[in-house]
Amino acid sequence: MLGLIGRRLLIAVPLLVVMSLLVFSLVALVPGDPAVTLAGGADASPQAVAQIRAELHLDEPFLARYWTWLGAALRLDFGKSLYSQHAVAAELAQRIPVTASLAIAVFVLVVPLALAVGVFGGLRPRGPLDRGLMFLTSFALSMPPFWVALVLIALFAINLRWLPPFGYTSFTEDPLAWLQTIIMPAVALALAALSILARQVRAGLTDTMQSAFIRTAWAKGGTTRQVVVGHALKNSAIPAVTVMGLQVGAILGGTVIVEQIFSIPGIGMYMLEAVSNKDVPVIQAVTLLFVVANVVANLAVDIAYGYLNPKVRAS
Amino acid sequence: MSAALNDKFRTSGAPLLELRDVSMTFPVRGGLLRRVRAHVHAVSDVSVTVRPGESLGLVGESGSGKSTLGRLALRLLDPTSGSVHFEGQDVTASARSRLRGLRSGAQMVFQDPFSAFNPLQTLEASVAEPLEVHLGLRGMDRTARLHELVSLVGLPSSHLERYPRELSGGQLQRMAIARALAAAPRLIILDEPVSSLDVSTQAQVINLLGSLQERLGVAYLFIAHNPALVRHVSDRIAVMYLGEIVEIGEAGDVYENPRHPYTHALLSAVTVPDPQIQRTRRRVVLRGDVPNPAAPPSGCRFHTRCPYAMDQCSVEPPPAFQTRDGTSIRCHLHTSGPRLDGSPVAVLGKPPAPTVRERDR
Amino acid sequence: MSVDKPGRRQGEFRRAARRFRRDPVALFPLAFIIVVAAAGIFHRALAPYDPSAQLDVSPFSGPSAEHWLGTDGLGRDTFSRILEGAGVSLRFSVLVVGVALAVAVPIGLLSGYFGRGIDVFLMRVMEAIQSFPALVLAIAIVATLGPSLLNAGIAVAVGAVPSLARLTRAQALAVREEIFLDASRAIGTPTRRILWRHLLPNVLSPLIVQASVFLGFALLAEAGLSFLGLGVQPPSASWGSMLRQATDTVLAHPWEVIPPGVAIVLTVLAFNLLGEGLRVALGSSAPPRRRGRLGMTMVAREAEPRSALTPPRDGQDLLVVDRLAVEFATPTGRVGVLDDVSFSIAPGETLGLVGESGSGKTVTSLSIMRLLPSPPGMITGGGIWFEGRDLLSLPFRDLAAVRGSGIAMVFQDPLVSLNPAMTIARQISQVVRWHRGASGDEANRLMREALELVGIPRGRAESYPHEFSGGMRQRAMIAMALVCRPRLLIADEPTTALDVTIQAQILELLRDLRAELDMAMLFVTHDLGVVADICQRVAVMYAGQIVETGDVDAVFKNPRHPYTSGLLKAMPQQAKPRSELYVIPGQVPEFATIKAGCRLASRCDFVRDTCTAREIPLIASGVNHLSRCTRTAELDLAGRS
Repeated sequence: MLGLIGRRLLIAVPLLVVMSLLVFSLVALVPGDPAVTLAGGADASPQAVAQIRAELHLDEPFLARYWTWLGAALRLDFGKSLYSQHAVAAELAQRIPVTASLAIAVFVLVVPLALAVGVFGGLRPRGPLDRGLMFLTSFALSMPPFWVALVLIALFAINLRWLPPFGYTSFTEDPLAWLQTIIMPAVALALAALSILARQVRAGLTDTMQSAFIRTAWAKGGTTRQVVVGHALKNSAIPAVTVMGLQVGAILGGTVIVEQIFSIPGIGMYMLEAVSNKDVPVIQAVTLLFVVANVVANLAVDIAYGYLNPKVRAS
Repeated sequence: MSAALNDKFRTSGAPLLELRDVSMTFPVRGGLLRRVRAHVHAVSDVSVTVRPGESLGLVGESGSGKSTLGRLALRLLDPTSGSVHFEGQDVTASARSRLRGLRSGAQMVFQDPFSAFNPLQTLEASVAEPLEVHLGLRGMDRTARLHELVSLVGLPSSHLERYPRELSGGQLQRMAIARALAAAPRLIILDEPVSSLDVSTQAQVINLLGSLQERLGVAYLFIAHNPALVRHVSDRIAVMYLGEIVEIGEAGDVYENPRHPYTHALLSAVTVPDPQIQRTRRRVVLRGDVPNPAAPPSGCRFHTRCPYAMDQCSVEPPPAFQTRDGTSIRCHLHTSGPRLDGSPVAVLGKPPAPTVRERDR
Repeated sequence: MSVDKPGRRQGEFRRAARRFRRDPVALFPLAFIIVVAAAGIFHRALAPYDPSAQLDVSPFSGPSAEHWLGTDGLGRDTFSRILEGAGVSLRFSVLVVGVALAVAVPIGLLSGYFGRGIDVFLMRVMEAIQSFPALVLAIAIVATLGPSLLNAGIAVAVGAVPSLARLTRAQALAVREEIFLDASRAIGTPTRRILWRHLLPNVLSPLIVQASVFLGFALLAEAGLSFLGLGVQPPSASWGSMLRQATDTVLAHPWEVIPPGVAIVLTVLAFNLLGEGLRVALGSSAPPRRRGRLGMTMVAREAEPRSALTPPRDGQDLLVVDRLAVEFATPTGRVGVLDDVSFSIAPGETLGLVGESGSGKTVTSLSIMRLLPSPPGMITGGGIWFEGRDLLSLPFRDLAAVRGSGIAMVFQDPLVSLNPAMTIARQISQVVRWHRGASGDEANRLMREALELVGIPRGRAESYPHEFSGGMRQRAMIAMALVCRPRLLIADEPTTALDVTIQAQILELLRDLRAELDMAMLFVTHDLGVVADICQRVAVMYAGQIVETGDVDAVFKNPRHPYTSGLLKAMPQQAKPRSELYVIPGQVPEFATIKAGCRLASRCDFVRDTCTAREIPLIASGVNHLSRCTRTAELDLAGRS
């Protein structure tokens, strides 16, 4: 098990270094003279251009700049926003808990519901319940999260007036208000991941229930609960865990749009503001943060995979 | 095979296929950096020849390296050391693209006929592949040869238009034989050709192989785990254990009077469809499993399971011992200890009862 | 030999196309997509208004006869804009998926087929791209390149390449292991031809399915980017950009979000359902719809067994199978696979059930504990009595109490029959806990006893199945079966997957245990040699019937059915080396084509008109010796001397 963690870390660390280089080189991809473009185009004042050039060390060689940036980033110093002039790190510290609480709410919705839908469908594949659930998941997969968000607002905030349409209250401030503000964005984000995961659990369970070792479990005299819970679920969770890992990225990306719609002051909204302002230090920091979060989440998934699957653990 | 034809080929001297001191090791990776931790010794220093027109049976259990040896002979694998000669030519070092002589001269039939054909192609496309690749046949010539081939294996030509899943296992294995015969090879390597077939179908394919050899004079390297089957089809038998040939000789000699304790045990494990024989025959049941080929035992590789193992066996690898009738055995029993000197193992009588240590291995 | 039917000769893809054409759930979405695409292409001709024209109507007019979907904030006709958006969105999706496939498929093929360095390098690159959350990657790319539809397309395509490439690679890896590629290499076929003719067509099926799903995905991504203002730029309309516009006024005019949203949802849903339909059409592995109770074969007997059939003789029979009939549900209707199967086993006795594949021996053994899955199996007649109780009328609870305790079972392939994620110790002790409600200590004690019984060293109990050799796994399987000391052990081909010397070990073990535990056995095998080795009585099965049964000595020495005799003669064990083996001509008949009378008739050397006139019962042909042959008394059949 330790070997598995070590091996995954050995892959993750160089990956992160490469990714950080890619993230940093985003600025090099900006067409034309980056300083001019970032300052607002051809009619920008020479002072503004010079200031940006200085702030981003654009006159230094590329690798030297990367090295300085990476060193600072490792000390959690991401520089200053070109737009607001605030320190990026301080801004992130405020916004990370917001997005994290949203992501946690999404997972709390996704995992148990996906398990329930997958198990009920998978035990009776192609039965009426299964067909109904599978069509619902297909439907959920076809809805853009931002549209779901809009429809939810129209329905619950405007028509029924049950929930506030926008805004955010932190959990520590008022848990109930937090729940009221987080429920719609969480549902909008969760639907797709929930559907994908439920389908995987269902497919995995259907396969597993047909496998020879399940027949053995019946032959040993197991009851339905003993066979399904004791033997089938763990083995059908193995592929589902991998799929969950892939969904982490989708959920993180989805926060960008959903936070925008619900005016939630999280990382995603910060990123969009930065994009529209061409605020390169912020774009770099937030992108790096997303990448790190995604890599770490997938590391956790790999380790869970090893826990579930003794063959992987051993090799 | 007709005796006359057989003798003619036997005396003609030059071997068709010769493997000289061939070894094949596969790396085992592991640990933090996925470094090579050990090597699986699939085949170790094996030398063997197949003569024109003969049937050499290769028998062994899983992990004995018999299938690897078959693949080495066809250069589907490149040996780690040693050399492969086909019709007198060293084909070990040839680039794959220059293997035409070997590729058209030696062919292979695989165990599972259902996965041996591209499921998306008609059998015609599959059987014609060697005709196109080696002989460049087109049009009428190609069709004529295809019809000739399927009638040779006793199938109607209409089967060529079918897809693999439309045929039974036995019919598909006939098609596989037809494909192997397409480029008129001198040698066919048969890797467990009937193991996945039922008894009655198995007999059909075995009979077909026998009559084809008689008519075409093609040599077989017949690889199987069932000693009774190997005995039935082979002129000579080689017995493999953990990557080594432990005994090789005329089929009758090896089968009736095994001189290696492993051969002896293997043959005694063959069940016979006769309850009386099964009740009364003396069994040698080997204890334990085949050792891990990544860490083969020292000395004689069989000593961990051998009922007659002596101190010397765990130290020195036994040299090949030649008997007068041409059998070659790798076992110390023939030169030291009881000095069997070429006699069958059976003369030693009942082996000592297994000790507790052996049983718990 | 089956009759040639021209309709049967079809390639996989043509067969898939035919299946697809018959599937309304797949055809409907395809039709919908075609309509949407046509609307997008011909929107200029079809649209009632110019999509960019600001009409002289009140903005946000809502649906009306003139403007079916109303007008937007600038007074533009929403329906016309939806039509224009259809063209923009679909063109975008098709191009993006096309480009992504063109990049991903070669990467996946090379990586999968050649492996090693190329594989490691390409897959690391894919992994790196994938560690960007897809949407973040797209936003970052568009943010640097500037917002436009082209740049959005590049961003979405880059995000789609890794998963398509990995899918291709996984498929190529699987196909690479297929024997037919080895066969082509052995022939000497050039690599290029192998890649094109053999590898590519065989990786295509899942790619076609994924392409459909990715078309929907690309459409969603385009909508998302346009919604953020990073894709389509005004004044041209895409569904995403229409939504972006509608968001600003959602509080006042919620209707505006409905038309473009519904258009997106329906189109993506169509792509997803199309993918689903393609998956079903291209693959053969749609799970069968479950019927009856989970884990128990359905029983649908016409006659009430207790009154109609003979119950077992008290005390003499442990298990009685009486006139068992089983049918399988197939796409073309129900097919009988077992007919009139009757036998009994006395306490401590071993009966061999022998036959070739398709003879029904495994169906019989699974039916006894009602382990045959429904579908396809259904028990349609007969009775199975164990210790005087009819197992076919037991409720599930009572049946589960018999399974593993009164009757235990050992299966053919221990690697797949053991739970890969559970230790051997737990898999064994679990049986005790399930049946006896025993404490952990008690269960562990019995587990260790069972392991000792089968010769597995104590130290290996905590291993997982994959850490055992084949022989050790089968020992573990036997320990699991014996831990509750069953009175009957059903062994279904327990040595078939094992090597000859390991088979000898397992046979010896079973012989010892049978005596030690005074246990009866039903030994299912295809190998007459094994039957001769371990069984006292034998039942020979052919095409779903028992054709001959009796004591092993009598049956082997003096077979009374031509099939038994033929099987014995076809075995090479005692034939003269290199002699022609006896061949039973032809093939086992398919169950759907079975006609009345003797099922061997078309293959039998001794067939007469009387053989096919009517059903043939088992006929006494000696002491405790029965044969399903009308000529059993007169034939001179060869046996073993």
